[in-house]
Amino acid sequence: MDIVISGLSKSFKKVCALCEVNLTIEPGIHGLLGPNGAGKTTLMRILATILHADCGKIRWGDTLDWEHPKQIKEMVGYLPQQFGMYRYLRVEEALKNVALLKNIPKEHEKEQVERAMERTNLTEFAKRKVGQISGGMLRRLGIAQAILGEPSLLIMDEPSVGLDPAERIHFRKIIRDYQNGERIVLISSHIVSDVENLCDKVSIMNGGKVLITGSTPEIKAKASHSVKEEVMSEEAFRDLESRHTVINFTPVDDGYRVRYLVNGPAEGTDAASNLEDSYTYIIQRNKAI
Amino acid sequence: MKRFFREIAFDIKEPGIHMWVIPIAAIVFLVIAFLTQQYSDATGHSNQLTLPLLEILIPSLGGYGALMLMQGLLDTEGGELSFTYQRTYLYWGLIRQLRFFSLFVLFIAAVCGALAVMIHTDFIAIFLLTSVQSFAVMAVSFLGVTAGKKVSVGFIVLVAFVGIQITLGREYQIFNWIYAINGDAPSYEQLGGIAFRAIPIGIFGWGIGQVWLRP
Repeated sequence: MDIVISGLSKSFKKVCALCEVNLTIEPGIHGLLGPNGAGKTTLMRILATILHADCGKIRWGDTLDWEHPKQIKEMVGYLPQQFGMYRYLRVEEALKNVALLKNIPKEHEKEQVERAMERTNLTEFAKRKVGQISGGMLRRLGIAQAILGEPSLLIMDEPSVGLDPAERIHFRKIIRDYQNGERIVLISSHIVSDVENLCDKVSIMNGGKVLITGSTPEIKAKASHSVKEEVMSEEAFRDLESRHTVINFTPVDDGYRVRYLVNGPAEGTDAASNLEDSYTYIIQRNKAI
Repeated sequence: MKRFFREIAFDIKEPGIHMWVIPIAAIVFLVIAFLTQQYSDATGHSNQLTLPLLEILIPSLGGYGALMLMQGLLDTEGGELSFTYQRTYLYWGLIRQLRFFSLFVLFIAAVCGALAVMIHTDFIAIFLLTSVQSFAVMAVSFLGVTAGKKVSVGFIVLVAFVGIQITLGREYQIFNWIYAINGDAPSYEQLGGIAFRAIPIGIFGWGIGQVWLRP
């Protein structure tokens, strides 16, 4: 079942956080990319039933409608950008509390809590107070509470913030395993590589609008003829910076290896575009309009 | 029913040490009350300290508990998450608050029972007085925390509500709505007057607080 968002708008005072958003989210892992203030968190908070949209519709299949949040709450797991709850409870107690709030039947509670802890590698910390666990573990607890009860829609706002590289790899594995082909996992992130490595589809947002949606390879290909990569001296790099958008640069023996975007035909060696290139390209093009 | 009691248990455990303040403060108060009464009995002076202290302390502890109940929801990183669980706004507000108030009434009964034995006073009068005062103070605290979305704002409202009545209310009756503060158990007539003001304040505080309860 797809989630179909049509004409969704939300304003805070006079600032339009979401402006007539239309988006279809299919089963799979869907990434939301965008700069700060793009509207990603607002969209996620509406989908998680925390906020109400000013206008527009969200439907999930033929029967579910965000006008009736009670039904939606039964299907949603949410991880907010910041998660710092239950600091005086033990990890296991906190998850049992969440199980209670999610109306998970008592006979399945133990099994579900253990499974969530197992998936997030928290089993050995089950008896530890939440206030005493590391930032990475706290993030994993956030993921555990979100997947508790096996929701069909998992919404994660910046899930990999605060995770070290090993934990990020583990996080990707958790999400990959969780998405079984039928569930929808919606992830927003500033870390483009996480989205590139994990998501089947990507939407890029800016200024409260969805600029583009497509499969990850499709979006990656959007900047395919606009990315150049060259090794150049520092002086040439400074000069290039004033004319083009530099996406990335790394110091090498004789200067810098520079990756940059060009508008139209230009000298330089073409490079295969990645999601970060396309993201920068699309946002830049949107700003120019 | 089991689910109901588990929910109360989590509500009380979640704020951790902050909820422990309530019984610890009550025990310290009872010890002070006992020592004061001993001193009064020994010297023949009447004990004018304990009942005013009861009136100030116990409803304020109730207000503090009402604030702590909302801390995880409104004043913790990611507290908005709770609103995605299968519970209504009414549950997160009034249901949890009134459930806690019911439990707090049992606590008041225990404290007043112990006090009535210690200082030989009318249990029913001081129990009813403290209960209606707690009803108002807890509701005003709830209103403060939902309006300000921060426990600190709720705490300021609590201190202001109690403080103004205790300080100015003794001099100017117009500033005193719910306190007797005269050292003796209130008469039933006086109790009726206090309840007449405290109950509407409580209904107003909880009602408006519930309307303002949003992530």
